[in-house]
Amino acid sequence: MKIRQSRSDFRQRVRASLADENLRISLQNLGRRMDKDRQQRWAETQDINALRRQAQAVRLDGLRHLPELLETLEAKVLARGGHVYWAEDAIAANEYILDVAHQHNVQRIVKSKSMTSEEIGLNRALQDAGLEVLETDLGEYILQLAGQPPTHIVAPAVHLRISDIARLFHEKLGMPETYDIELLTAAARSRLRRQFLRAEMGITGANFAVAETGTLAMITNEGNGRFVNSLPPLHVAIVGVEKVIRSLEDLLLLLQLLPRSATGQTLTSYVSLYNGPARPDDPDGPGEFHLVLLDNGRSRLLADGYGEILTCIRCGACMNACPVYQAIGGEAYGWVYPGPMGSVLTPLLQTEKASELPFASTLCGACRDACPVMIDLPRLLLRLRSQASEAQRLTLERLGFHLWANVATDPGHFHRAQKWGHIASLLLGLGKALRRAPWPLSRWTQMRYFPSVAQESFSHYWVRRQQNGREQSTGNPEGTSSEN
Amino acid sequence: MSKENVLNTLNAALAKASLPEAKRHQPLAVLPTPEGSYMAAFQQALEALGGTSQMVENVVAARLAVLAILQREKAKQVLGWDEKVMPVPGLQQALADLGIIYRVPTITSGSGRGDISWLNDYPVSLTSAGVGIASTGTLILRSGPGRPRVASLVAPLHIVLLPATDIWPTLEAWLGFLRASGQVVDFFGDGVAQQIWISGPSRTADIELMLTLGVHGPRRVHVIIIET
Repeated sequence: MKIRQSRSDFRQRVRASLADENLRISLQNLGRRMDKDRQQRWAETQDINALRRQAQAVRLDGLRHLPELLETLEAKVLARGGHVYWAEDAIAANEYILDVAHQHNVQRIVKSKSMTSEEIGLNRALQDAGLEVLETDLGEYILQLAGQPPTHIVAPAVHLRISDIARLFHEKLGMPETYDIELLTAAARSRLRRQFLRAEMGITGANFAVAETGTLAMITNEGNGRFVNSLPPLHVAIVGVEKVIRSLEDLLLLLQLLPRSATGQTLTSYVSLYNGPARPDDPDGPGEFHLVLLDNGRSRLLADGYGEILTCIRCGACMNACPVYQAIGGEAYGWVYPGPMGSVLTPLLQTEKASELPFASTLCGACRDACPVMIDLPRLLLRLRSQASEAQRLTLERLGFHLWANVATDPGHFHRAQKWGHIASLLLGLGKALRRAPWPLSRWTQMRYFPSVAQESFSHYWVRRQQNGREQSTGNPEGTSSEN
Repeated sequence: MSKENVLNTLNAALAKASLPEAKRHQPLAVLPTPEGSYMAAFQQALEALGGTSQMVENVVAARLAVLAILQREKAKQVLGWDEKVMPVPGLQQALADLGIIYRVPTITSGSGRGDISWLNDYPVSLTSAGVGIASTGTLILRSGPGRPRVASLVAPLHIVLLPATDIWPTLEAWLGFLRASGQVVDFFGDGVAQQIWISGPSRTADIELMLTLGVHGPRRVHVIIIET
């Protein structure tokens, strides 16, 4: 899947999002609800930080032993009669799944929500081959009707208001325009039920893959995931290689944190655990099962020193806590993973054109504090920023900073610059800060003030203060710092 | 081969990777065990999720409880598990005596399954649960012979029979027991293709984060806890 935007598109999208009143209300709702729910659940949990440290250790342990755990997982799935395909990238994964569909003359496919499938653009690949693909999570179903991408990894349609959905269902499903959520849900339920019963293939993701037992774990609330891996005769699960964990104990530990952090639930309504196809004596269930293990850039970012982001358990807590996400929403980020985790993942998985995303952060650290596996997102964002600016061509701004670095690291230069700087400030007729500078400095002052240089330098003041003794040391030394 | 390629790339990446230090501790942190009776804690947790439950003394009372619910619901047909895998004997006969059709569904995986929309005709389904978890109000159901997956999924009302002796305080305590008694294989071994942990009714908050019950799975879950 190609990224949908260039650098200038990103800014345009941010402007459009900021101007969207409906979006603003939806996002306020999100911050008020989801982030508060998580905070409350965490507060009730005794020693939540011990739990988080354990979860972090479990995920890092899984990463360090990825190859051996993946091989154990594969052996278990094969022993139960399942098929395993190792996909190097999105193209390989899509081709394999399409092949499987063709081999079984599949026409209709039902899917449960899978960010990994969004990442590889699976729906598009299958639809281009003439297959019918239906998203069955209520939020994803709404978005598929609307022709929109998900904007949140847990609550995909969170940017839409009920009025948008009422209009959409009226136009696409021919039902009366109603704001009754029960009716809207019932309409989706009956339409999707029909498709569950007819589909020849079901595609799911998984939240975790337990190597020890060859078990895939999928947590859901609606039950659509259960239909998808129970009714169609053919089941394909697509899983990023980083989802593998060692043991059932590790699974239980992570399940203590994932729902609490995602939706504020103790546990989701359903946890589906499955391993391979239905057994010969089973009365129902898919007769054939395929597991697709996906790399798609994960090993590359591991090699480049960004492995920590692979411990992410996709709870969405970082976006719920992020002041930037709450202002601009998920669509502005331009790809399937929004918010802080997306600002790290997108430039790493989509190597082109996303270098601006790491700058869409205030580095306030709210994401790190909200992360159940303690990923140091600000540090990763900073690292991506420095990489992005190193790769940038020489600009006036960089030249300015270069000059500044030269001056600031040499006491003699610094001292002289302070003197001349103050004189220059006086000549320019400045008060305490430059609010609107002439070009080319105007590009700086569009976003922030440029401080003027004080009459007396701090080091000068300090020496004077020491010499004059206590009687003159009261009060705030004027001019040693400028506002902003 | 794609497998060798992926593994080689991963191994090379791991050799270069710098990951934060984090030590695993033993034992892993576990959330607190509910106080008092596990049965009461289970009922409380389930109720908080929007489920309902009742306690009955023995299997005869359990049978009676099932019949009472079906009559109250005016259910003419019920989807369910084979009586042989459930803790309450005589159910199928008792339902037949009342003229209620009881169907243990079989859905073939091959091309010959035909139209299965009859699954929508059942207002009520009946299964048992192998395990109940008090702290989370969770029911654990395994697939297998006589235990079709759809029986806990397609009907708007799901009735579950649960022996009180199978209620564990937490998922961790249950897993600890499975480990200690060598019974992990009963739940995660070759014989079990799928198991489902059910905590209350199906729910969604996908429209403006407002809670709605029964979007795809059962809207109502009722548990009959059998004391002996």
